[in-house]
Amino acid sequence: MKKALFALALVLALPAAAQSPVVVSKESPRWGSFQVSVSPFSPNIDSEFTNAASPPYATAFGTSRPLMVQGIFSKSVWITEVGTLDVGFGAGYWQVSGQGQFTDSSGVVQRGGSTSLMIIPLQIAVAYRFDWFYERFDVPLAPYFRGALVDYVWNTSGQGGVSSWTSATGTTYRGNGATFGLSGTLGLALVLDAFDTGMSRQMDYDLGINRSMLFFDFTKSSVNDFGSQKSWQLAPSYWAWSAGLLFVY
Amino acid sequence: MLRRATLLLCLLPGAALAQIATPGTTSALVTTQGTTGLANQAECVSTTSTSTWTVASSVTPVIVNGDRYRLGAATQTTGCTTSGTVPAGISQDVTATGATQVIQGVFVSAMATTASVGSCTQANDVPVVLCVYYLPGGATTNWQLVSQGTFVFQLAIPPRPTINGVTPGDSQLSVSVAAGTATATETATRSVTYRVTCTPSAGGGAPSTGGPSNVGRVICAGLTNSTPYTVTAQASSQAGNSSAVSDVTGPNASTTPLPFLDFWQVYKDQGGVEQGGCSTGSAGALAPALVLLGLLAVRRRRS
Repeated sequence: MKKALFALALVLALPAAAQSPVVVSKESPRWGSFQVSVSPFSPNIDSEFTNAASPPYATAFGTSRPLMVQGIFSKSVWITEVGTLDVGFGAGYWQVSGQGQFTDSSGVVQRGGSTSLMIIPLQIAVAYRFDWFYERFDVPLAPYFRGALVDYVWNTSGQGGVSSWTSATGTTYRGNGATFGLSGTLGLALVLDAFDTGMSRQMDYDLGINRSMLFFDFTKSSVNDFGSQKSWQLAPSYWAWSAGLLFVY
Repeated sequence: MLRRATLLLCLLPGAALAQIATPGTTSALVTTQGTTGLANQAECVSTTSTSTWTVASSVTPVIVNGDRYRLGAATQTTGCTTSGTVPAGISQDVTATGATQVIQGVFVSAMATTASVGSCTQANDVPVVLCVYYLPGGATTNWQLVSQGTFVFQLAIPPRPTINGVTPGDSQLSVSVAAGTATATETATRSVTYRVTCTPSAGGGAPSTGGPSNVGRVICAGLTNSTPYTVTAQASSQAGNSSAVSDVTGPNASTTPLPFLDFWQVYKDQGGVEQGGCSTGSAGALAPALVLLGLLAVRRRRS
């Protein structure tokens, strides 16, 4: 009878055990990281028109800084107790909309129509993150720096689709293209795993995510085809802050 | 004797089931307005407006037996009659020619009367049920409900819309239209669309219309630049009930289309150096390489 009861208890306990797997303390192997971020963005196109009364970008779109959304997939190529070297590829999206303008014969400017500028920022990034503070001293901070080769694929549009402009000599310039540049980033990440180690281990067990980090950084960039005289400046004039989440997996 | 009684008891449920076989579906299309299952206020009032019923019956009639269909209508609350005396028809009974049959010339006003719609000028939508009864041999005994469907007398008139603003464009005006406030005779209905009319304020010329469009921006296109226009808007329900016309906007600067330059054109006009195109600078060809690297990274991870 006791054996039967024991067997019954074992059978009843098995499904529960299957639902609540034992979380192993050993960390899963790391492969790389993925991050998503948002950043207020405004290209410094008007830097060409320092003396203009109504520079084209500010006149069309104003001085607001719409959010740029970006994501970076990275492969960790060098992992030590001190830190991690990541090489990754990133892409994002940004768009601003505004109004066109018309100047009549007496010089009065009127606003109307619709116009927009869209940018898809692509980048190849190399980043080094100092994991040492957390790994060695349990201080949940990870400073990092990142350098990137960026390519901003852009498109301007008006009422009838992609913009085009024809010069006095008859040459037509379409309002889309791609502009290259470089960027450098300094940032600090807060290691969220430190606040709930149990959930951290569970995420590693369930999803393979070793670390979750909330980060904040500043980026200075130059996107003008490396100083080309035939290119505009698509980078902001300021150190652009961005904030986001980073997952090490 | 007992065996016969048992057999009879066994057969009875089968007979009852045959009596309440699931009816087929019926739809009605009012020819003047063209949206299946809907009639507007004018069609409800009209004594000449007719509809076409498409009946899918749950029984297959026999023509030589003189089988007929009776078309009926009822409120949604009562629904179609399934027992007792067969209800009066909307029109004369029609010869049943098949399990699927198209019946034309059913008066909409008679449908409204039979379905107890009441006033056709009320400010509410009235959903009703269409009923098709099968009369074997044309007799009103052993009749069956063989098909039914839904129909809406969309009687609500949309509220008079308001124009919140007009933005001029190149040969067009973008009109911001908002739904009007409901009144005792104008109530909000589903699926309201808006149409705007732009009329040259001077010098004649035909008005242009924009829409129909949902509430928001409606474009009046094909206009003449530098010509001031007056703009009005009107709402229309799905069944075609039109609202009163909005207040007139313009003529003024915002209702005068002009050949506006977009950002790129202004930039180039002011001497911007950017050339555009994917070959911008010598590094332009690297863009595809960036994409390729990304794809390779993903592929390597999968393998």
